[in-house]
Amino acid sequence: MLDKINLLVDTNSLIHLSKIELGRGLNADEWVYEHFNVYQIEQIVKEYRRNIKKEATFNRKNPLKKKNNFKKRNLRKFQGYATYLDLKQLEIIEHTVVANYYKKTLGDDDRGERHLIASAIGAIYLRKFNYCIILTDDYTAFRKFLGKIKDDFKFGDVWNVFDIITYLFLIKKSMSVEFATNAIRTLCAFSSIPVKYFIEQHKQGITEFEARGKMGTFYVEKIQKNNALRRVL
Amino acid sequence: MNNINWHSLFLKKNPFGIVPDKSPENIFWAGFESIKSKYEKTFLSLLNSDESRIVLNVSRWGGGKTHAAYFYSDPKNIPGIAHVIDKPISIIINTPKEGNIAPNEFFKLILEELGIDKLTQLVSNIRTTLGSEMTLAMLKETAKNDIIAKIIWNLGDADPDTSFEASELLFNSPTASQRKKFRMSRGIEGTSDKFRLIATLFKLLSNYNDKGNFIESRKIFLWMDEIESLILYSSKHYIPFTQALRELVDDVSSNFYLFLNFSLSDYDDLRTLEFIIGKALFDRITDKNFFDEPSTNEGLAYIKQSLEHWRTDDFNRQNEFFPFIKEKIEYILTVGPEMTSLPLTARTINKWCLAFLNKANEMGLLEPPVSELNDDEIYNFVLAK
Repeated sequence: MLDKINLLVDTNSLIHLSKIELGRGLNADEWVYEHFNVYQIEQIVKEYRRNIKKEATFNRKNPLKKKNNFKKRNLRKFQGYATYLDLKQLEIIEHTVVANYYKKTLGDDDRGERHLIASAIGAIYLRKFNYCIILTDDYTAFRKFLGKIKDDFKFGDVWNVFDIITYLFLIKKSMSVEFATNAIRTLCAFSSIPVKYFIEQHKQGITEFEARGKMGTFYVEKIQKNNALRRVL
Repeated sequence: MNNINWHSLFLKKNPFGIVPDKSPENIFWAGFESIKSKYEKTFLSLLNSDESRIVLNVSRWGGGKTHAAYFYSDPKNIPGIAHVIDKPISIIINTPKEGNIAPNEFFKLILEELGIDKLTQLVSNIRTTLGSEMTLAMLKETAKNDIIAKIIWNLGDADPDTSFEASELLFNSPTASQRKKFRMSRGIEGTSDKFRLIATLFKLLSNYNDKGNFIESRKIFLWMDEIESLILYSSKHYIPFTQALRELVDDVSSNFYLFLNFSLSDYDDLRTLEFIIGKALFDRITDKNFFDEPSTNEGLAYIKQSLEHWRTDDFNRQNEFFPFIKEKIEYILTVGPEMTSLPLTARTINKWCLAFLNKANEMGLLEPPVSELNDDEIYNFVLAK
C-alpha cells in the first residue's frame, strides 16, 4: 500500500475545498482527507475555527443535514496537529530562517503561512516526514516568501487547490473530466481565489473576469492533458 | 475650479460622457464605421431568417457594445426595418452577477423591461380580439403549461383586482384562496417555469401587436450585457442557467435573437472566451462579431462627429475639432495606447478628451472667448497615466 503524501493546509484552501463537490456525493476536502495525511498547525486551526464558527452559525438556519454537520465533520477530520515541533522550535525557525525572506516585521499578517512553512522545514529537518506539501491559495505569500523558501529548502512543494484537483484527477479514475472541469469553474467563481498571477501575465491589462477565465482555461488544459493519459492506459 | 461652460465651446452638452447615455433622444452613432457596418451586416442577416439565433459580440472593455445595444434598440436605427410595420422589440439587461439568484434576477429584469402594465394591456386586447376562451386555449397551446397559461390569461382580466392578483403570481407563490380562485394546483416554481413563461411572453409579443391583432411576426431582440459575468457562477448555478438560456432560444424558436455582449482583451485567447461562456452555450452561437480596436483615423472621425452632433447653432469656426487642435489629438491617439497600455476604445477616447478639457479649464483657458487649445501641456499629461 502506498504511503499517503503529507499535507500542511492553509485555512482558505480547506474552506475552498469544502465547497467543491467532486463526485460520490463527497466534497473535495473529504477526498483530500482520504488520500493525504492532512496536518494542521495551531495558528491555522484557530483561523479555521473562527471561519467554521461563522459558517456553522449561518448554516444552522439551513435545514440540510449535511450543512448542519459542517462544523463537526470538518473539525473531526484533522489527523492531528503538527506536534513534532513545539512552539519555541517553530518560532526559532520563523525568526531565523523565514524572517530572512519575509521583508516586513513579523506581525499578525501572514503568520499562518509563516508557521506553515516553518513547520514544513522543521518536519523534514527533524526527519518526521520525507516530503511534504503546503497547500495554500495565498499567491501573494507565495510570491513574497513561500516560493523562494521552497526553492532553497527542499522540503517538498507548495500547491494550490487547483493542483489538488489535478492530482486527484490523476489518481482517481472515477473522477470524470466533467466533475474536474466543474470543480475548476466553481473555484474560479470564488472571490477569495486570487487572480493576480493571471493579471500580471497580460501586458495591456485585463479585467478580473477575463483573468478568472484565463485561470480556468489554464487548469482545465492540465486536466485535459491528464485525461490523454487515461485514453492510452 | 468652475464646471466647464459648454456653451463657451459652442457645445450644448458634454459630448464625451464616460457612461453610455441611454436616453433615446440623445443616442447617436459617431465614427467607428467599420464597427457599425459589422452590426448592420449582422442585423441584415438576422432579418433574412426567422430562425431564432444567438449572436456573440466581443470587443475590449469600453468598446461600445452597450452603446450599440441602446442605439439599435431604436427601430429607426436598424437597417432593413423601415418597411416593417410592426417594429421590433428590444430588451437590454445586464447579466446577473450572482449565480445563485441569476434565474430569478433574469426573470425580474425581463418582466420589468417588458412592463407589467403593457403586458396586461396586451393580453386584455388579445382577449377582446380573440375572445376569452380562445385566448386561454391559444395560451395553453403556446405555453404548453396550464399554470403559466392561466396566469398570463388572468393578467388581461377585465376585473382590475383579478388582473393585479395575476401579476402578483408572477413573483409570488399563490395562497390557498388564490389557487382556488384561479383553479391552479401551484404557482410558478423554479427556473424551468420562469423561462417558459418568458418564452410564452416572447411568442405572444412576436405574434400579436399592441392592439391584440395577430401579426405575421415581430422580431424580439434580447441583449445580455457583460456576459463575462458568468465566470462568477459556480458550476452548480452556471449549468442550469445556461441550459435555461439555450432552452429559451429553442422554445421561442423563431423571431427571437439573443445578443451576448462580451468584453475581452486578448483576442488570441479564444479558449478563455469559450471557458467563460461554456462549451454548451458557445456551440449554440450562430454569429460571432469581433470588434477590433479602431484606427487613429477612426478615432479622429469619432471625435469630430461627436463634437458636430452637440454643436450649438452659432458655431461658425473653420476648425471642426474646436477647441482641440486636430494634429495634437492625432498624436495622442497614435502613441497613447502604447504609452499608457490602454486600448483605443470609445471610452478611452472620451476619457482623454474630457481630461484635456478639464486640464484646460484648470488652466483658465475655457473662459470666453475660448481660443483653440494649443498648449502641449493640455494634451501630453494623459500619456503619463
